[in-house]
Amino acid sequence: MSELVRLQIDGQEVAVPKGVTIIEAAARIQIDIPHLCHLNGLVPSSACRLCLVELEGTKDLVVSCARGVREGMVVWTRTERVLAARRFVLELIWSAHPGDCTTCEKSGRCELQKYTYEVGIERNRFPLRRDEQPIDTTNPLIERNPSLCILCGRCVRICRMRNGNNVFDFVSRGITTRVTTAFEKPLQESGCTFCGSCVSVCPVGSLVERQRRFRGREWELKTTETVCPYCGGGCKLLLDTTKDQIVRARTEKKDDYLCVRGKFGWDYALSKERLKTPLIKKEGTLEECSWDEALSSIAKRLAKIKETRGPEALGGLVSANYPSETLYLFGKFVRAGLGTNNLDSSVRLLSWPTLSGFIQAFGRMDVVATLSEIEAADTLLVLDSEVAVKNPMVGVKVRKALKTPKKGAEGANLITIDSRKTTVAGLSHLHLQPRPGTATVLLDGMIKVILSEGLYDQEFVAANCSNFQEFSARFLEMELDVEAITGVAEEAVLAAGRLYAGQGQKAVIIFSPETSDRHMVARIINLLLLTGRVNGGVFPSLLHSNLWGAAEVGVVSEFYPGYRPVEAATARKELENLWGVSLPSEPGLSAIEMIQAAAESIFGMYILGENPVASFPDKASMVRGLAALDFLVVQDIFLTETAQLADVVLPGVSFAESSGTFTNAEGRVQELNRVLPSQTKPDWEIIAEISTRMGYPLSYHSEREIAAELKTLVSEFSGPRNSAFRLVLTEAEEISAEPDREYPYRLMIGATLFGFGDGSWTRRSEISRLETPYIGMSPQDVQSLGVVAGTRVLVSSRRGRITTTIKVDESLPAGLVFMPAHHPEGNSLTSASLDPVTKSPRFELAAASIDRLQESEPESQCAGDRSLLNLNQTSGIAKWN
Amino acid sequence: MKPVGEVCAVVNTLEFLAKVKFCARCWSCMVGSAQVSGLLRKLTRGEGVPEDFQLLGLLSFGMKETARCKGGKEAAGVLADLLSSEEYVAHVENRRCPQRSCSGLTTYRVVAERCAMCGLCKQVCPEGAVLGEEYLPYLADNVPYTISAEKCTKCGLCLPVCAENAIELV
Repeated sequence: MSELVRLQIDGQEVAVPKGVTIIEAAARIQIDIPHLCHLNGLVPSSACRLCLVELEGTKDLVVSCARGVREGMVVWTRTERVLAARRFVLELIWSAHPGDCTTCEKSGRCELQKYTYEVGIERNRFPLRRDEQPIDTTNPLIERNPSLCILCGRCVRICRMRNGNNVFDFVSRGITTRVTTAFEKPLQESGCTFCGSCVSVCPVGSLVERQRRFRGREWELKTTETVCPYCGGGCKLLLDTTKDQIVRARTEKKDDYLCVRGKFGWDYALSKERLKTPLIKKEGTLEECSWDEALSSIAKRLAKIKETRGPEALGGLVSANYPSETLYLFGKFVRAGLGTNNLDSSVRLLSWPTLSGFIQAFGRMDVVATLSEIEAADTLLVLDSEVAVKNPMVGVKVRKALKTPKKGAEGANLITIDSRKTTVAGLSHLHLQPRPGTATVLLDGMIKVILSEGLYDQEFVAANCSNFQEFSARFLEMELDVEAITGVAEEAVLAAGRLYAGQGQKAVIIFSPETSDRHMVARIINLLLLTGRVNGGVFPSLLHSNLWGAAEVGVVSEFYPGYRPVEAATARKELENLWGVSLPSEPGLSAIEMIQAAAESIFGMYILGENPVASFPDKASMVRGLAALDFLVVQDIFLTETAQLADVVLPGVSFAESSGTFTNAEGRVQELNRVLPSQTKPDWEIIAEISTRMGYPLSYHSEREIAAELKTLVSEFSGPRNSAFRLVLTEAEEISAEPDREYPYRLMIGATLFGFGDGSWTRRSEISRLETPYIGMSPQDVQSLGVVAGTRVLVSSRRGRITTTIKVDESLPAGLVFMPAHHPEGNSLTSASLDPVTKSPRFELAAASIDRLQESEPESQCAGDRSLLNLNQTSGIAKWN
Repeated sequence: MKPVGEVCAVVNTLEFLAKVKFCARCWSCMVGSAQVSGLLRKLTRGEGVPEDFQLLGLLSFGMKETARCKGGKEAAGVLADLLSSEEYVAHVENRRCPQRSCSGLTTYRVVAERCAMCGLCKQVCPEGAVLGEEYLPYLADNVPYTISAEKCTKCGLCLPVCAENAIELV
């Protein structure tokens, strides 16, 4: 590849690597050869015939997007002959393309328009052959206007290449050729994931975002670069805005990827349901009030609890979807302002075992692979993770890795371990399907293979792992019948172990932190240590945008900013000096513990952006806990289920109105920039003002000042890296939620593409219209239960009941049912039992039963919920009296 | 007379366009061939105008230069041959189809001298375009057979049934 080829284009010498096409070579010397079907990264289709150039020594014109460069080529791109051919093609296109530039959204950015103008076609000589076809508006996100299609095939190719979805293809021939879906079905029935890649690459206005129709012309838009607020992938997002509205999200390059949430999911920020003014509870109902009234009431009542019951009766809870600066300030306010270590965040539920495990084992987090390392890996081990749904960008990289030629192989090897046969599993070379909840045992089996066959990196282990001998001895004498427990054949485990441990190969483990308990994490760490892959050997597919940043800036009860342990006196001294106040020494309660301890040891809580009623397990106990508090402040952008229980609700700002930094799953720190003027006050300002009113002044003028202070505490990767590692031995516990006769199914809760977190964002976005709440069941279970897709059913677990709709999901094995994590009321079914060490809820597959709903039964939530809401109201009145 | 199996160059080109194996994925063939056949059909209908020559020339040149597949380039060649032939000129300028295969440029008529007045043509004509009566001896006001140009669709069904070759194309 490094070999250079010299050629001449329009009289200019250019040297390019071998394998480059003429059009790319020309682009390097700023010669733009017109093209419509060509797009970097796509297989050339040479369909548009616009990029024809003259090549000396060749009779015919050659297609510059498909012809590779050769030494000594002489290319002419603007001769009479070339221009005549170009003009001919453009006129032909115009004879079949309606001139709807007046209302076409692409106008101004349209490639056909651009080249027509450049070539100077004023009038089209050919008879018109326009064929008006109906506009497809059957889905809420992508509008297809087949009349405008110029059949370049970019959408066909990008869908095939990137998603393997093949949603579009050409049908018919000649002038009747069209690009459409199979059997002309709507997109949502054609396997479309609505990533919008086809919209991004469309050179004309045939595919456009429906959200932007008639809301701003291309030349009126202002572009701001920011970060996607959804998952931990942290994709760069360019938001095009008019004065006060976001019009479209896009990427820097046309062929870059965004998933449905990034491309279309920003519209929640413009929702009419956004809170604009503070609300205060008066006689049991929330009423609008002034900022001053809200803030002084908060300051007064928090101070009162602090005075009468002590600072440890207060607690702070924050969502990891905020920029690090806001999170840091919230942490500082709770620890220094309120004076309690009862501070926690959604990190506890979504990634704490992983983050704490890694920090303990490695000292730093930079063992984590980058996205490009995934692409370059020789072997990928995907654990219990529908990555293509959780971090769609990672899914794209995995797919790319499979197609990137590696030494001695056409592409990467992919091993998947999942009880479901997910889309990624469908691509894998080796798919191990253990019984639900037994993946840790399977990993033990793989470790045993690696140990007994001596596949581990002996040099690395000898030099770095102090307890290898002990570990190896204990492991080898352990009785382990993997096949009996997991149901995976021994040969498959053997093959997986050998494939993963392959010497001299780069392997990356991709796993789900939210479903991995500390035992699972321990096994992942052991695999990394045994194979010596402590640099870029693992990728946690983090569910929320700033989970890592939140842990780093210390909004978890165990750690101060920069992973300084709360118990360590030196760290406390350091922060006491910086913050100018004495800090409590005892560690605080974790997220769920706080709510469980409500009215016993916790009496007042400040919740920033988190929605425990909808996203924490065991809804009933969360509602009970929060309702029992003396005082609850919720700061959020919507009146969430939790905010409805609050005494004061403060309106925060969305990602589009905030600035700061996010740390994504790779550990990359990215700038979040303000895109729109804020509708209320920035979150950090609200926190600072309350703190100041409570007598601990936090006077900052901008996020930058906070960032500067934060920088002194947190370097990009905090803490020194461990020089010696210890292999971790933990005994996995029995799963307590075994199905029985009463609750025969295992219920798995997970992410889907069209929902996110507690659903409070996505429910207010157009993307949620693509998915109705459901419970997924395997075809066998559906049959044995005697239901069909769409049947209303009652799902019960030992903790609650909800009604929902059946969906047949072929990826599930019999006995396992799946429910989206953002399913309304879905968390009524789950359990909040905590891991004794990490204090995270144990990822359990709840046992559930599913019954067909009788016609007469009311289709509403469980009775238990109602009584709880009543309880809340009565308690509110009691407080008032 | 319409010799069986022989058609004029215009119809020939149209037939070539119909059977040539285009890949039909590039604009040249996808729209270009449709444009060519549109213009040629106009010609066969007798609606050809001199300006079309320019367009067809442009299409022939453009398709040859830009077509992706061999089929497209071949079609361009056939079109170029047509444009340079005398037949094309006859079609546009003389409004005549030398082979009488372009329906718009031909009319059917009965040659009275040869007509035996058997009436077979009237029987087969699906459009009822043949007027006249069967010959009856000793009848003085016999109506001879004629073909109404308005009704005739130039299907040619009457040609083979006439034993006297009394129907001719002009």
